[in-house]
Amino acid sequence: MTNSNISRRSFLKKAGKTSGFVVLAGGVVQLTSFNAWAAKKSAIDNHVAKTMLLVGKDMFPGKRFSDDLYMIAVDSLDGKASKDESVKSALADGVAAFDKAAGGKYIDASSKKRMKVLKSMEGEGFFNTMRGEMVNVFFNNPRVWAVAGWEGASYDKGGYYLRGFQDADWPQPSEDASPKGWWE
Amino acid sequence: MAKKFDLNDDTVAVVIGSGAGGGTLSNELAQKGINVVCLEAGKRYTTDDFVNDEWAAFLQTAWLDKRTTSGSWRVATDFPGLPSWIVKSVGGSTLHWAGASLRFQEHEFKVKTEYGDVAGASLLDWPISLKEMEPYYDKAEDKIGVTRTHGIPGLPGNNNFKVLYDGAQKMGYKDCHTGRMGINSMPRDGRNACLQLGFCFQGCKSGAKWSAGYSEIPKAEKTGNFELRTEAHVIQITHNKAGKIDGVVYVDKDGNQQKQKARIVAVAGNSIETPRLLLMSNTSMYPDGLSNSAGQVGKNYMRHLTASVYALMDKPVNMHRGTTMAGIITDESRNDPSRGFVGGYEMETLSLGLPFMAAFLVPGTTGYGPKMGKFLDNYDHMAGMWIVGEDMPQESNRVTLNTNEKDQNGMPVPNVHFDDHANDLAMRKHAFGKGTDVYKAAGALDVFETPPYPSTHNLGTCRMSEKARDGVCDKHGKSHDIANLFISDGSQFTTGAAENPTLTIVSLAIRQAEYIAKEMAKGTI
Repeated sequence: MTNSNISRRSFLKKAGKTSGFVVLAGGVVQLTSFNAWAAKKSAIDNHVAKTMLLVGKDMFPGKRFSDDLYMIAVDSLDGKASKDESVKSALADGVAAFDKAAGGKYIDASSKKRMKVLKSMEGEGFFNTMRGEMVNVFFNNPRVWAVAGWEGASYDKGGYYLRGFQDADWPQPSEDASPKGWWE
Repeated sequence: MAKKFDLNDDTVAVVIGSGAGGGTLSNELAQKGINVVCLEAGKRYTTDDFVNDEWAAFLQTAWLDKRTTSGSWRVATDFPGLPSWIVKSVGGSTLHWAGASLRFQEHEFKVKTEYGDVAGASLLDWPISLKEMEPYYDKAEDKIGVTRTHGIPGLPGNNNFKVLYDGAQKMGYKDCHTGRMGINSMPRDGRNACLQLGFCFQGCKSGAKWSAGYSEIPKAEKTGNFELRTEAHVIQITHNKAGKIDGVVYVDKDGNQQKQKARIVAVAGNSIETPRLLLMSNTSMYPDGLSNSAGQVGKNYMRHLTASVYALMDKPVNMHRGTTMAGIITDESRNDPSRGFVGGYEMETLSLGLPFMAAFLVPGTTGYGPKMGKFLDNYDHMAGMWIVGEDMPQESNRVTLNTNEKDQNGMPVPNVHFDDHANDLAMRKHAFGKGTDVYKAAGALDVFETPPYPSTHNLGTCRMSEKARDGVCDKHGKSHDIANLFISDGSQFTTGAAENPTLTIVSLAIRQAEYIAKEMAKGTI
């Protein structure tokens, strides 16, 4: 824990001077969101966290998803790592394997190279962990829903019968095919 | 009101399962004055308990007991412990069903005659015809309150339907509408009208969708002839020295084994548990399990073709607003071998919320990448359909006991083996093409051809047949081998047809109740 805290501090220092890892081959990681995370207590070190962030982003890239949102998956795994040493070491080992496959650091590799690394890692432990966290945690988060346009629970809002269930900009079907609602 | 029967009461009819088959059969028998004990493995949830949350509802209601898979179907790779997506709760999978209530077509009851020999397929004609089924379909539609029958208006189509309909018109399809649905388009039978919640799969919180759990069971309870026991998981059906069924052994909610005596037993545990239970009930008199003298129990497992097409449209759709299955194109459901396969398929809108879309759009380890990210990022631009087609029965597709693995009661788990038939593959390819064409016509930028989910339509593992050697039960679901043992769920299906199975399961249960009451009155069972 002490080591990772030290490395986090040194990262913040370095980031302040040089903008650190801000520019990545696949796009820009927003430093502010990462700094906010890095300032918290954490089980995993910065390199592991940065790599996880980019792996999550590479797996499910979306123009509307900010890095702040991608940190949801990193945070979630960080929480698990803080309770379970084996998770922590598995994440570190997984990132090391990704780095090795990238022939350097995964986060410094080109987008094309990173996709090749992902392909080669399909079904492996760290790949599955990251994909699982993205599918089960990231896409199950209301902040992500709001950005992607899924509105979550509707019963407490009275459903959609008066709230746009027919508002898509396509021609209205014939009355035979789609009768009026009971309230009309 | 609800009655209690003694464990030693050997005059009762024991019904195993409370879903489309068991829930309906229980109520129909109780209405006729027959004493029924219904044993349900799951808990009882009311509309108040249902949650508009995909994963929470799944964990609350799904059948998650240990199971194994084998075969070349992709489900065995992507979801090795979850061959089916069904419900463990009072009401069974009618809690989860989307509501599509379609009658089978005439030819689908006699596919062996219509399709001829199909290599590798164990096709067989049903021992009943559409004509014989029609009065029961009519009763089932009235019971369920199926839209577009009995003067009940169709439902209003939602956004997902508008896209489907536009594509269908541009493709020249003739039969596209909001379907025949077991969802109230207006208040009926004590149930509300649909509020277009968009959470049909999670248990309908508005109670607009017919579900055996709150539509049939409470009516049965009112007769005073019916007892429901929840968290009562049957592990064995027992028989007397003469070979007739005399009761069941179940594990109660405290983990204790109980024995309930019975005059007859009707099994409706869905098409994996039903054959499993018959196989687990083997004795020295029935060494291969009950009703298995022909060796047919567990064979001919069918799961419908199934596939989905999800499109990324050029404008917002918000497909999640409103009913999950909001409309249908039936034009491809005909049998037209010139397409390169026998049988047909229905195209029905389907939407998943973002959490499930992430899990199912491309399931398994290849489910990631730029295209998938783009779709999920633009969830509000997505439209989707599910393809339900007739799959070929094959003897090698079967439910067996996996004696290497034990469930929570120490019983062998079911293994579900499935390989697609060449006809299934040809039909799926065709359906992916047509589904894609529908969305391209309606302005799609891109599409995903999504492989089958864990099976929701589990069919055919105890099929009905005219001749005892070809199946497990007769045209009333009565075991060919044992006169007081009945099969009462979708495992009776001789073949699968292209239509969603619930209406046919309910119709068969109504018909079976009539038969059982008549035979009991005559004293033959």
